[in-house]
This record gives sequence, C-alpha cells and structure tokens, in this order.
Amino acid sequence: MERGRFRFLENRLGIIASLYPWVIDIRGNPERIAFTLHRITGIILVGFVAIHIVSTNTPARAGWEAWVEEVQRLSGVNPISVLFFIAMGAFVFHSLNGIRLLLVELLALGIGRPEKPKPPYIPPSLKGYQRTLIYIVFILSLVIWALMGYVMFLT
Amino acid sequence: MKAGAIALIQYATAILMVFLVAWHVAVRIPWLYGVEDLPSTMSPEIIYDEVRRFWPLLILLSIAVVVHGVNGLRGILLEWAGSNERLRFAINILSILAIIALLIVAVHTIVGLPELG
Repeated sequence: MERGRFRFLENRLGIIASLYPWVIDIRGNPERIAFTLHRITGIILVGFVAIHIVSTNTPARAGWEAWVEEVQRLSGVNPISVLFFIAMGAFVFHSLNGIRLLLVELLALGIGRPEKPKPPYIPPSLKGYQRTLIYIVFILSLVIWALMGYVMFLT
Repeated sequence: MKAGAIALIQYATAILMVFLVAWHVAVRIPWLYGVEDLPSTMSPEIIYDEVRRFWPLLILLSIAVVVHGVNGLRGILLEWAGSNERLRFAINILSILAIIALLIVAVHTIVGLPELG
C-alpha cells in the first residue's frame, strides 16, 4: 500500500516477517538503509571482536615470537589483511552511525518538535536535520575507510 | 533484567566506546611512533608498554565491546526467534556464556602477558 511519500506494509507472519525490519521500504529511505547497514556491520563486528580478542591473546598463549608472526599477516595484500580492511569499514560505519544514533535517539537532536498532524502529513522527523546527519555519516565513513586503506596497503 | 535496562546498558557501553575505541584505533596510527606501516605499531615493545600502562582502559574497553556486541546480536536473534520461549531462553543463556568466555580470554591476555625476552 502506498500513500504519497510513505508506504505502509501489511503485517506478515513467518520467516519472511523476521527479515522485514531489514528490508522494509528501503527506497528513498536513508534511515532504513542506515538501520540495515548498522545491523550488518554490527554482525560483522561481533565476529571481528571475537577473533580480535582471541588473536591478541597470542602473546599470553604462545609467546612474543608467535605474536610477531601473527602481526606480519597484516602486511601487504592477502586474505587476512583484506578481511581486516573489511572489518575496519564495518567499524567506521558502525561507530559513526552509532554516534548519530546517540545524538538522535538519546539526545533527540535533529528530529524536530512533536506537532499535531496536519496535511500534507510530513513527520517532523523528516523536517529536522537528522537526515542530513545520515548523509554525513555515509560520506565520512567512505572517506575514513579510504584513509585506513591507505595506511594499511599503501604505507 | 528488564528490556529497558538492557537498552540502557547498550547506550552506556556505546558512549564508553566512543572514547575508548577512538583511543584504541588512534594508537595504531604509524606516524605516532615514527614508523612506516601498521604492523610496526604492533611490535612487542609497543604492545607490552601499552598493556602495562593502560591495562585498566583495555579491561574497560573489553567489557564495553563484548557486552555491547553480544547484547546487540542477542537483540537481533530474539527478534528472529519471535515468541518461541525455548529458543529465546537458549539465546539468552548462550549470550551470557559468550560474554563470560570472551572476557576471560581478554583478562588472560593482560594477566598472562609474558615479559619481553
């Protein structure tokens, strides 16, 4: 069902329903894109953190020689360093979007003041600057990720 | 624990991480140490010195990251589990076990750090 700029989806049951928060109304909806990316990057980061904690345990577990060997795997372009780079991309987006969420959800910045609904029924949150913050997060993430790529692969 | 309290923990750990993770990543910038690449910032001397000097921050960082990460994943899995009570219970128990296991490894990294040869 579509009404103007906004679409309303019917309630659905089953396994597809569990995917709905991820894919619902993604067209022209940067908030939903940010939400989905925040989840995907979050899942990547949980895996990364688990591996990172175990791998940084190497000196305690196997000594400094093993640690030096482990660190050398991050040199140059190889599967480990590429996976690390992907995790860093996830980290950058998740952090910046997380800061945006703290500003918007916790401090209620950029979402406008509550108001009585009146035609053309544009929610105050779409008139605030929270959407600009999303675009800033997208652009800044790409820039910082590129800088990280420079440090990792070109220095 | 109530859902609201868990959401508050998620926010509190996020605020902590804004500072702690920024520091954790910043100390891997090669130019800080006058070295040329990322692996050189992780030499045994630098890591040993960092762990000895900043171990309380590293412990705090580990707690914040592990709790925030596992709790976030738990939230997604609970959404997927719907109203299946047995599945929800299993997800909650596994989350607690994952937090404990990862924190034990993190603490062992600091406590069991060997002296430089």
